[in-house]
Amino acid sequence: MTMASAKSKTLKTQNVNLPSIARRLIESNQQRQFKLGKADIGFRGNLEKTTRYLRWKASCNTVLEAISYIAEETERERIYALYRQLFPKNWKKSSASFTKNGYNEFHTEREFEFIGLVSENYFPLCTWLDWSDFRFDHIPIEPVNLDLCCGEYEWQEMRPCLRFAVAAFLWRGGGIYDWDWNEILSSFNLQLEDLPPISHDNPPYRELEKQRDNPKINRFLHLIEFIYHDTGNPFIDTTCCQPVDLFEWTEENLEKLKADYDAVKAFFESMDSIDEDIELDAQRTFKELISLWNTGRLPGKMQKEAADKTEETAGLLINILADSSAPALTF
Amino acid sequence: MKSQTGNRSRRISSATDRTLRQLIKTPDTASRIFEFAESLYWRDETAERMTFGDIEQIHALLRQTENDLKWMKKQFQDLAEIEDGFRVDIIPIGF
Repeated sequence: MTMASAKSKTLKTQNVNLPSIARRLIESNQQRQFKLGKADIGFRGNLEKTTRYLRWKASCNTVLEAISYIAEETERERIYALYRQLFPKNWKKSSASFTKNGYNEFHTEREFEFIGLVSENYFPLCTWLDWSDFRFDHIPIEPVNLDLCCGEYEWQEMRPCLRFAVAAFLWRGGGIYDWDWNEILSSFNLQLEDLPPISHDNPPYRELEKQRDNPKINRFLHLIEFIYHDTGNPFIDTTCCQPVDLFEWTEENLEKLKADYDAVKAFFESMDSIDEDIELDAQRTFKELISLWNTGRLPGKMQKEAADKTEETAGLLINILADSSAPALTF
Repeated sequence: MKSQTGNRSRRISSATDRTLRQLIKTPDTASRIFEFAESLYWRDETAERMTFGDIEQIHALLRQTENDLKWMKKQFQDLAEIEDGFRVDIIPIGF
């Protein structure tokens, strides 16, 4: 740093204006200290209180640590503000404490009550996470999908449509052995020769998108989007390798995530529908999926198009003949 | 005529004095932050709850204070360079 810049800069921290709420809290804390001598909690109570306070003081002995503590407490207040906004009646009649109990040092009882209400009324908040062990500054999303990228799964554990689609469209060509592929097919009583070859290219998504109104094409797209974690829905797309945006605790985010969670149903309905067809006729269903992957068209439609094309060609041939011969052939 | 070394030395000492005079006022900031943290620690069940507006104001204050701290820290480091051997690591500024 040059001498000139040292002269030109001035510190801005000389006049810190605390927000009014902070000033009121400080004032009430000063009044509390004034009354403190009158409180009768006994020697043991005082000792415990003092030890707790000293422990806190030791963990908050620099400005940066104090800032971090204030930020954490403010986030807690955000949860309370959200609680009041979303569930005013519950808040009014709640008797849950604003203090942390013995076994949980990260959330107060009142926060836990809010987490429970969100799980009941919006979408289930991560049940496998230990809320007593960690504080979430953002809304934790619990994925409903398998981590097909890095997770280790036995194909036997997957539902039928995933067993086939993951092997045929996701893993095949990317390290899956033919031995596994044969094993998977044999679990449906099929052989490799029973199915057409599967293209290694991506399916014609643009063409498929145009036909999304067709339920069979829609369910195929749902299946592919699901296995590729490419749905735009954080409950399906989130994996260890593909984290989604972090969602702050706001009403808008909770509403958005509720809608996303409701939208997950459509993907599972599509997979249910494919599974039902696999149970009825696995070979026909797989051929349909492979045809959509390879060409973007349903097998029946392809046959019809081929038949139409043959008819058109035949008509053309007849017309050519008609042009060349003197007596006109009419149909 | 004054020597160049003398002028340089006076310039350094003047800059140092000015910076130190500014830095000496920073405990006000630090103590207000500590006071606020402590008032949050001692809140009881009946304490006033914050609105979303309050929360935003507090966040803005924290951001400003953090930026100021960074700037102060940099100023200490720059001072250490000027003074050659100034122990920035033991200065009790709270970061």
